[in-house]
Amino acid sequence: MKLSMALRASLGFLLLAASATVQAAPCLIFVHGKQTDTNTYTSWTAARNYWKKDSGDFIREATKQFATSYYVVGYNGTNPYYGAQAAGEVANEIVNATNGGADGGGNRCAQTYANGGTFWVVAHSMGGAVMDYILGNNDASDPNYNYGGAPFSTVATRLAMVVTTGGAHRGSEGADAVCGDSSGGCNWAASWIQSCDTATYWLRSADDVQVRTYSNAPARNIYLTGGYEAIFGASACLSGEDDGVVQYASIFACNGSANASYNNSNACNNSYKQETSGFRNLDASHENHDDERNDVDRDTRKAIPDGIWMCGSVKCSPDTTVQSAMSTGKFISILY
Amino acid sequence: MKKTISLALLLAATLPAAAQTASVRPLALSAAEDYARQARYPQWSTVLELGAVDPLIADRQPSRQSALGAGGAGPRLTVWASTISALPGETVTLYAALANLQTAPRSLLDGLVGSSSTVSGARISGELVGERLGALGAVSYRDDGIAPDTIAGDGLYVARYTLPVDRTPALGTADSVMVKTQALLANNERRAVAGGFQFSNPAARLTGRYLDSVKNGNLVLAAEVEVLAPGRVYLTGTLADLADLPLATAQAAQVLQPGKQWMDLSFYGLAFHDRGVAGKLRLASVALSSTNGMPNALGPVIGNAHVTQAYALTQFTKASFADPALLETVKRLQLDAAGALPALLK
Repeated sequence: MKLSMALRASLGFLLLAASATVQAAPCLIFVHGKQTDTNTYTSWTAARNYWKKDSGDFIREATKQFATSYYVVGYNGTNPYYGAQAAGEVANEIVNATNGGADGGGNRCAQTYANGGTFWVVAHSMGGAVMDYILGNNDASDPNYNYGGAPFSTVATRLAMVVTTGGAHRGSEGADAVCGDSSGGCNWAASWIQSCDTATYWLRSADDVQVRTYSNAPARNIYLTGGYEAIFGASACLSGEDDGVVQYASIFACNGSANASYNNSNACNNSYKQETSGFRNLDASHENHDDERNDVDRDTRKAIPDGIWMCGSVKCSPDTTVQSAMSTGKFISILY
Repeated sequence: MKKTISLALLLAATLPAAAQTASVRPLALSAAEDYARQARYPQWSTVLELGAVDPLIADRQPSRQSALGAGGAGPRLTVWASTISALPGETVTLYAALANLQTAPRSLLDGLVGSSSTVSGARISGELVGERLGALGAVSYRDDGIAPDTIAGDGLYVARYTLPVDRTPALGTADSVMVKTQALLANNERRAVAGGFQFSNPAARLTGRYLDSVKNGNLVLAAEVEVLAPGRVYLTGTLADLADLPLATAQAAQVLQPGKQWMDLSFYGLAFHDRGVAGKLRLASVALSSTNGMPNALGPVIGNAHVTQAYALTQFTKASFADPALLETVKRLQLDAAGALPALLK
């Protein structure tokens, strides 16, 4: 099914006719990734620090030096993605944010949903699987509608979209290795998959734990970006390009095998995703899994199939260098 | 907080960037276009693009897990199960393949390239552990041409495991079963990786009886279900034309009490207009699961379950579903997009 020309024209007209008075930027809601302890759940400061390293601050960059309002979610990153303290907590915090409530640091969205605000989630790593589960179970016909009493339906109504960076949508081959008691010199100890804890168990690439097995297509789009900078030891054990922890097949939510080899030229396009709709490619960056969320690396960005970058009036060819020194935090800031 | 910009500036901002410059469109605008399309359908039923695979079948294709040696060295151990979900007493075939990489171990930045050749003569074993059930058993994979293996020395190792009835998860629930597979190579190198499948005990099943009708302009497939214990059940299916081209999907969920009853799977009528298909239609795949907790207890996929009566296109609604929540999001995103300047960067 294609969007008709008439519909496109109508949208364009609506955009131009929307009047010269325009809203403020969306509020950005940040959802972190897997943890090896419960710190980000018990301490908001830990959740906030997840997005920082040295002088780098992903949130500062993504919010245009804090000019855009934001809210930082902290959940139990040792829970499975569907857990009450993972998806449940994230959903409750998103509803709080859209109601105008403050996060643990006193940050609030500039507008509530009731007053016309728009809200984007920016999620890293396991945060991607958490959001897949929430937005894929928001309707009464979905397999795990409002699972555990969490307000997934309210979240889906109020969110405009999600952007994931290094999202573990199809799990991680690192989790397969660690849970299989593999050593193999893969250096998983450098990442969050040091042991086969519950969250890691549910981030394996086997189908019995995959979020797509237990979700419908997301009710709001999930936009995908991720890194291709290796982490010594670990990357050699992952299929295709990867960010040292998560392989491209997972970062870009591909259909088919979760360990298929992809690169910037052939990353799965928007028609070959883990669900029939709702997953959209953005681009790829020369960042590793940590760089994707701490803004310390201003590096090359590449176009990927069906990605967002335009070269003139057409989509940039896959693997085209579109930026030479741009972090993912900065990239988020130019999307709105 | 609001700001004012001129229409002229807005127009300039939405014009294509110069040919040599990489730019991005405001994401809000792209999302609004997507949602305007999606709002034509309800979440419980959507059309499939021509040439799309059956998503229910695709979801049930077992994924493979693999492991390399230190530094990405071959051979690669790849494991998978014959199914992603099995019922009590069902036998699951477990596969393990060992293959050399014909190229040198890849560099840190390059993808694996080249074909592979299989490796025989390894000893491969598996340990099956349920997340809640605990240790279930162990298997030895064989590559000697003796059942369950079929060809000796082809590098494809095979084992079988029958799910013990006396360890069955409670009715209406399932357990994740991790298969921890280890290969000991002839040179004493080791490969290990975790695969898995689900030990499922759904509390409802499809009886095989279906009825079809048109209600409110939608094609309704009523499936008879037999419920063994009270709980929530999830029904999903894919409709195809008689040439087996997938056409639309639908899903429904209900809390049901024990006994035989009918459950409706409603395919939104607009799908038939968008695809220009009517006449007799085939329920190409359908599955019923218990969704009382995680993991859901998946039921088997039934293929070619039913062929409908012949329907005329005029019997189906042409109306957009006009999902109000999505259309509200479209409106807000359009306003956001009007406030965003495309980044002209490089």
